[in-house]
Amino acid sequence: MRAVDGISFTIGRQETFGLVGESGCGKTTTSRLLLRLDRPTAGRVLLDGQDVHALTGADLSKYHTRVQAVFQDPWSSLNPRLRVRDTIAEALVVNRRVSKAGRLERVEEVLHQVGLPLAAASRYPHEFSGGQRQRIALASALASDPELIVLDEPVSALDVSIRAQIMNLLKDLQARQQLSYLLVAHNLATVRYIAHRTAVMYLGRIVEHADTESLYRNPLHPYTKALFAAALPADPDAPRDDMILSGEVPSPIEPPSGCHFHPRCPFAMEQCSRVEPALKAVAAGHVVSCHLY
Amino acid sequence: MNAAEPIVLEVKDLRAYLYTRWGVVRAVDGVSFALGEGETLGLVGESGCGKTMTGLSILRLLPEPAGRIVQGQVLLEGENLVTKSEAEMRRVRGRRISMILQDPQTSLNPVFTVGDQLVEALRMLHTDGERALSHRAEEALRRVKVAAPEQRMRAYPHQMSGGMKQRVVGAIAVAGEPRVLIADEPTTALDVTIQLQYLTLLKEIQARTRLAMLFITHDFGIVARMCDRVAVMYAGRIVESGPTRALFRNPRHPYTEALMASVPRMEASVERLPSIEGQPPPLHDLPVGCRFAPRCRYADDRCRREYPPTFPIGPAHEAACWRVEPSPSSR
Repeated sequence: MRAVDGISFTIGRQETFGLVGESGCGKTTTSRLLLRLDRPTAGRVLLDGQDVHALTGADLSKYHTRVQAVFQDPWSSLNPRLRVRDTIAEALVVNRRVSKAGRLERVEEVLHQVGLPLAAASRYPHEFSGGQRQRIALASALASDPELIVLDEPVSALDVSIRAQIMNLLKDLQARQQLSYLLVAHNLATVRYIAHRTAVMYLGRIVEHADTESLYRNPLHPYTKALFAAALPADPDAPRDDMILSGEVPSPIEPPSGCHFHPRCPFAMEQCSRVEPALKAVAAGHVVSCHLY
Repeated sequence: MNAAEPIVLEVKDLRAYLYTRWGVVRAVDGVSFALGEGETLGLVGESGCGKTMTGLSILRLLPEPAGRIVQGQVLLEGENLVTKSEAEMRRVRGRRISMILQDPQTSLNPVFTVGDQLVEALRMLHTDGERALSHRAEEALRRVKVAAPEQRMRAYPHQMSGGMKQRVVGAIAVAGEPRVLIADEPTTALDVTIQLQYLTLLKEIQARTRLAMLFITHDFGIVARMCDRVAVMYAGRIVESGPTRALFRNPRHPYTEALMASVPRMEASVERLPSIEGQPPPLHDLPVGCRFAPRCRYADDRCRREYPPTFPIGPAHEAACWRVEPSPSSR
């Protein structure tokens, strides 16, 4: 199965790169490839020019301090038997030789950065709400002073009133510490709020990729258009240009020929079932893979 | 509410509490609303605000033995469901009020085919023979736009996608031609393009059958699309309710206002979202006055002392907040 099938993108320093798409589009696999949780069949993931899947020894330890992750579910990503301080310090013990006093100091530093009281250090995860747990997860990701954090659905499990708190915290941390983020999310409004550039994935491929503003103002790929049209704006008077797609996402085990989207595409032409469209630049920094352009 | 529509369901001062070892959880604490024929009311709020418990109370499906309706009435076409026996309630569920839950996986039995489960549901409603029931089941699948229903009848739930399973759940829910459908976050587990298909389907069913729908959600996009009226719940109570457009254009309760402002927009870029600090109070340890007061930027001493009654704001629009109290005010 080609979960991710020939995609390319770059993430700059202090930049957020958003990956959007529906379940099975390959966005989570992409993040796992970055995190070395999966190995690519072909192609490379380069961190400052170094192939992360070829790293060994000291370089590999270094990689683990530079790249961290925060996942969707703050209930399952924290060890329930460890105090917050130990969860955070674990990241330091594994990655760096730091004295005990130095570790405690660092724990206090990162708790402060994520807006938790110092008293949180000696408590257990179950004593916290979902939003606070996500802050703890973020604190342990920050402990090793990383440059890139993979955020896989960081707010989708949180309550509506808590999401803005965490999204604002992510933005503040990025500005203060020059962090880069890979943001994987299905909520298009969340991505618009946080990401500087965004790519839309469908069945393992990037179908469109642009500056977030340019993408949201002027989506070009028929799938992007349908995806955006399906996201319901929180406004009863918003125009309803419904483009209801027929059918469902086909199985990635046997994807359709040519353009993967052609069986559901209202604009499909004869060549779409035969020829896979190349990614083509249609404006500065805006590329789309569709025979219409 | 559309004054012209006859009221199908009316909930009056409903209180449903859970008696747990941590204390009394006041999950539903004085909730009132009415639902007209063919109308959709959105019940909006965060997890733990009591919206699901409100839905379960209406059907008398509170978790036993902890949950109990302690006060209030649920009037279905004038009949009070709160005082009915369990046997009588079994004739209400599925025939007069149905419910669709968030996760179709938990609503369907994994070891029976979709056809078996539909026939089973239909057997409660009709006295037909097996052949006729099977035909009805196929017809029910066709009505929720399941492709190739005769083949799907033989499929097990795990062989279907999430969207397809939720359609089957929908088919079972409306098979008995209920008057009221309670939809509790029915699309939360679905992808957005599939969500839109499903919401459109529910609207079509409603247009055909004049169903009254109680739509439980936390998503303002769904509310804007689906609901005629909205009731916003916070910590067990409705804090504001009104026609959808009025509520979006002119939210008057500070919670509604702050919640709407904190949601990122798909259609506009925002530099910084105003967030609501803190979190909802635990339902077993509620503050004395207004339950939103600890997070409210307008709160004063009176708010912390006295829970505000519901004041009218506009046509069918009301809020429980001292700030909207009609003058002459005591301040």
